Amino acid sequence: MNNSENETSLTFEEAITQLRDTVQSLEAGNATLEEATTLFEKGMGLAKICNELLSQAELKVTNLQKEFEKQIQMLENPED
Amino acid sequence: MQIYTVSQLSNYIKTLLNEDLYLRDIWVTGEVSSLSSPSSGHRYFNFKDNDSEIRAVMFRGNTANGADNLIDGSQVNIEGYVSYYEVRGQIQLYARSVMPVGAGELSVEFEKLRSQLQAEGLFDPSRKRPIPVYPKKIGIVTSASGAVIHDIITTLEARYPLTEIVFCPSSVQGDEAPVEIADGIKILQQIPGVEVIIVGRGGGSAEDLWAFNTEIVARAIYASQVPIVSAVGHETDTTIADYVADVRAATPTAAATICTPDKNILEQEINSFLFRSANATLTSINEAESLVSFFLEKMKNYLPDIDVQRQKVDDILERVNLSLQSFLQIQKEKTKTQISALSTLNPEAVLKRGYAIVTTQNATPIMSTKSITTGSIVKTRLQDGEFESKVL
Repeated sequence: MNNSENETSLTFEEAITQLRDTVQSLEAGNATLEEATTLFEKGMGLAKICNELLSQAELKVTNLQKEFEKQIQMLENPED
Repeated sequence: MQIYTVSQLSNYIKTLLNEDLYLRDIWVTGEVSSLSSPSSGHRYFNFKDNDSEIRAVMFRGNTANGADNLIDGSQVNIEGYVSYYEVRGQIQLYARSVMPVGAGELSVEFEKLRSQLQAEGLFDPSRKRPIPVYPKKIGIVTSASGAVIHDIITTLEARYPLTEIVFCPSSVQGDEAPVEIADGIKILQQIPGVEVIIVGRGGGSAEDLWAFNTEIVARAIYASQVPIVSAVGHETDTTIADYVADVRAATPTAAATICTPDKNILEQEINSFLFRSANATLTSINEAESLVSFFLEKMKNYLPDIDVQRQKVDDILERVNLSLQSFLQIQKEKTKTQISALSTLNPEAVLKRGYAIVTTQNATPIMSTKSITTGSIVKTRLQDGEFESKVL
């Protein structure tokens, strides 16, 4: 797919929402065969993105207090 | 002189009492007596001390706020308002909440703040906001050392690791706690991507939980730009923060669950999407195929049918053959007839019928008497031979 660059930058919410919409368009059944094929490919791509995002995700925890202390330290020791 | 009806007078007295600011919201301490609890659900009683007595009522709608403390002879603090009951000509104390005396100042303060904030609409169900389904970031205000942050991290790791926790550590008890909690809420809602904030602490005594019953925390929750999920103490403890929060969670784990979708269910959902889109696409393909077959069938009707044409050719050939044969037959017959006609013309055949041919000696037929003279020799041919004779 040539638009994969755009799709990999989707958030999970965007990807799963688009996937849900795509499936609904397909199931509505008024797409031509060509459109249906395109929608199917799009859905496959989106599902792949969703699964990858889910399986690769690692919970990130930002501690504001530690961030704050780090910044203070940097101000005090600018050469770091 | 103006003369009023009793109703007009009663109305006037009622209006006077209702307009008095002190009587609109007042705390009174005294003893309960002559309590009656009719089936209507309202409570009627006399409220008295050594020198005075006032008629009092607590309507059914308020009985959740401590009606159980109304026992004949008990000392209680009542929060409510004073008005006039025209039907009986009585000034009454209308109780909104009842606290036992000696429940401690905290309870009284709690009840006071709760009824004040409720009157202001801070608990209004209509302002509760929905929690986002796929939050990019979840803000958390709680202690850095308690089990709460640990439970939330564990739950989110399992459920929805796509989100990011922005943790603002705060005291959750002691004098500093209310301001730190309120500041945490204010800071977190300004961080881009934070779509929901969990505020909480683990279980403890009423004093331990007190920070979550303070006005500054209540107002910070109320003013938050993003929805707030509260998880304070045990399920049985309800703090003011819980009343104001958009959603109250029983535990920190429940709070994390409320804020996120479940990864396993999401994976199932994605798979079912795949299955459904494959199905829908197959249906489209099948439909297209049957359409193609349909048109193919139709087109066949317009194609020249070679077998029919071939048969036609065969038919024609056969007919030609037949006519040719009958033509030949006819020709044969005709020829036969002609041959037999010819045979009747054959002079030999005439001889057979008894005629004779007379010729000269050199076989020239003699057609006329004029071509012969007396004495000439003629030849006469009969069917079985000839002879010569002399003309006399």
